[in-house]
Amino acid sequence: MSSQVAAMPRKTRGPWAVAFAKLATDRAAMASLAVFLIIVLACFSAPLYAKWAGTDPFASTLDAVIQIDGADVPVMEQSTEGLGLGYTPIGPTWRLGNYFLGADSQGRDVMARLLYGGLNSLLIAGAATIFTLIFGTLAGLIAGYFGGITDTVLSRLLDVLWAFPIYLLAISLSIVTIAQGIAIGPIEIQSGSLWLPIIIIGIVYIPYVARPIRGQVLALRHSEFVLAAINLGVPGWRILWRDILPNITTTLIVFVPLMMALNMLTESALSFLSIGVQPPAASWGTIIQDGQALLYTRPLVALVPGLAIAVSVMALNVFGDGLRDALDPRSKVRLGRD
Amino acid sequence: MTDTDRPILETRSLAKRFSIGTRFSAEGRRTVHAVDNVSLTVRHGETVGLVGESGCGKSTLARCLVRLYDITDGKLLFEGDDITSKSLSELRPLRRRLQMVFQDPSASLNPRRRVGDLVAEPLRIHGKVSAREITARVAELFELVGLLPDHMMRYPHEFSGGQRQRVGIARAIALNPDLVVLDEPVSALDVSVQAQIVNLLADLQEKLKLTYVFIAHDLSVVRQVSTRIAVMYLGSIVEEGPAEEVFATPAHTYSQALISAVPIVETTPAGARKRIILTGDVPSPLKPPSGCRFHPRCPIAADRCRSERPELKEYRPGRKVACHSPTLT
Repeated sequence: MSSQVAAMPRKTRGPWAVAFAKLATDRAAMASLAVFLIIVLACFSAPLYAKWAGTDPFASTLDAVIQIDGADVPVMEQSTEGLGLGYTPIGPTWRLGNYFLGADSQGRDVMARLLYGGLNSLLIAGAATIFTLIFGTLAGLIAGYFGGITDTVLSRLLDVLWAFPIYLLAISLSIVTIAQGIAIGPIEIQSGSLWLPIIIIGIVYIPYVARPIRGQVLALRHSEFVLAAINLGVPGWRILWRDILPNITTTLIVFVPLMMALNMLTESALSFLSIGVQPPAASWGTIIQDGQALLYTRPLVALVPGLAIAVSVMALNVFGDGLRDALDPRSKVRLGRD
Repeated sequence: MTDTDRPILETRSLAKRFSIGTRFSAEGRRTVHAVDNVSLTVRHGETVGLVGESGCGKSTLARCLVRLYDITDGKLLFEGDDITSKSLSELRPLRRRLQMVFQDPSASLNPRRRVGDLVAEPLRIHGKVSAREITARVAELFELVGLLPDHMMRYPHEFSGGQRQRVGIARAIALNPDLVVLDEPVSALDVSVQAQIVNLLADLQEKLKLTYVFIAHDLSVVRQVSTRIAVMYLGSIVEEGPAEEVFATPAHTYSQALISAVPIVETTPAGARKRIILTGDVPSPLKPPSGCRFHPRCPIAADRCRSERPELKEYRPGRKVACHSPTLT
C-alpha cells in the first residue's frame, strides 16, 4: 500500500477509452467505417486520378477518339437506330484511366466525374454537418441553460424551422438563392458556390440537433453536479463549458455520422433537381441527373453514383448505430422522421 | 467564548414556494408551499440537526440556505448581512465561506471529470495560484478526508458510494468554509459506511472549526452529531431545542411520534416506552391544512388547532415549540 501512495497519480481509463474499446469490438461498425474511409480516400484522390488518366472531367469532349486494344474508338458514337439522330456515349471500357465506366452525354469520363462528384458530396455533407452541429449545439445550450424568455424565443424559432418539411424548405431556399447568391453585408456568396448547399442543408437540420440537445441541457441544468458547481461559485459560462458540454459530447459525436448520412441524401436530392451543385462541377446527384437521359443506353452512368450514395449512407448509418451503442447506450437519438 | 453565541446564519420567516403548471393546464396554476415561515438561527461552531420525513421540505430549505434557490419570502442573513436577494455574482465571494454537501454523491459529481479536477474546481475559481499549488492542496484535501492522493486521476464511477461522498466533502471544505450545509450526507450510503462518514465529519468539524447544518431523516444519526435539533413538518419547524433535551422530552406530538419510532436496544423494562403511531399521510404541500398543519394527524388536536395556526414560541430559553398544548415538563 505504502508504495502505491508514493507513486505518481495513475491515470485510469476514462469513459472515452472504455467507449472506444467497446466500439473496436463492434465488427459491423468497424467494417462500415472501413468502407466509408475507402470511399473518402478514393474521392479525395480524384484530382490525382484525372491527372493520371489525362482527362478533364469538366470539359465536353464530343469529338474525342480513344484507343482500345490498338483500335480507334470515338467517345461519342453516332446513333445507328431510327433516323440516326443523336449520339450514344461510349460504354464502360473496364480499363482504369481510360473511360473505365464510359462517358456521359458530354463525352466526359464518368469515373473521374464520379470521384470528383463524391468529393463535392462529401465536402458539402461534412461541412453542413459541422455547420448544423455548431449552431444546433449553441442554440440547444443557450435555450436549455438560460431558460425563460431566451428559451421561449429560441424554441419557437426552431419550431418554425421544424414545421417545414425538410425538402420543401431546402428546395425553396435553394431556388431563391441559387440564381443570384447571397450578399449580406461583407459576406458575399457567388451563385455557383458550394457554400450555398452547405448553408442551406446546414440550416434545415438545425432543429434536429438543437431540440435533443436543449432537452439534455435542461435535465443537466438541474442535476446535482451543476447545482454543486453553482454552489462553488463557478460562473455560468464555465459551467456550460466544463460541466454541461462534456456530458453532451457523446450525443454530439453520435450525431456526426447520422447527420452526415442525412446530409448526403439531401445534397444528392438538391443536386439532382439542379438546385445544389451547379454544372460543370459534379456531385453524385448531378451525375444521376446526367445519367437520367442515358438510362436505356448507358444505365451505369446513373446507377454507379446511386450505388455510391447508397453504400456511403448505409455505411455511415451502421457505423453511427455502433457509435451510439458504444458511447451512449441509453440514448434514444434517432434521426429522420419522414 | 463569545464566538459561539454569534449567529452565522439566520433565517427570518423564510418561505419557498414553487409554481407548477400554467394558466392553461387542467388544474391551472398551483403553488407548492415547500418551505413556510422558517425562522432558524445557526451559531458559530454548533451543529444544527434538521429532521423530518421525506418531502417535508428539508432539502428545499437546505438549498435556500445556500441560495441555490431563490427565496420567495422572508429574509436570509449571513453574519448579519442580508443575502436574501443577492445575485449569483454578488454571492460568489460568499461561496468560499458557505458550502454544501449533497445527498447523492453519484449525482453531485460530474461523471465526465476526474475527481482531482472536481476538487480543484473551487480552488481555481476562487483565485488559488499555480497549478502545482492546486495539486498539492488537492492531495492534502484527499488525505484529510481519508482518500489516497493516488485517487486524484480517477473518475467518480471508479469509487464506492462512501469514497464518492468523501470526494464531495473534500470539495466542500476545499476553501476552508465556515458553514457547511450537509443535505442528508449519509442517507444514500450503507449503514456501515454511514458511521465512517459521520465520524469523518465530526473530525473535520473539530479540525477546521466548521459549523454544520445537518439534514437527515434518520434521527439516530442526527442525535449523534447535533448540538441543537429542529424538527420539520410540512415545510415548517414545529420544535427546536438542544439535542438531548428534545430527544429526552419532546414537546410536540409530532416530535414524540418521530422519536418513539427510533429503534433502540431496550434497556428499560418492556412496555415502558410507548410507541406513538401516526395515522394518515403527510398532507400535500399543494393544499396545506388550515390551522396547525399537523392537526389532521394529531391525536390531541382540539378545535383551536383546526382554525388557528400555532406560532413557534420560546417557552424556555433555547426551547421552541409550535403547538397550542405542548407537553411541557
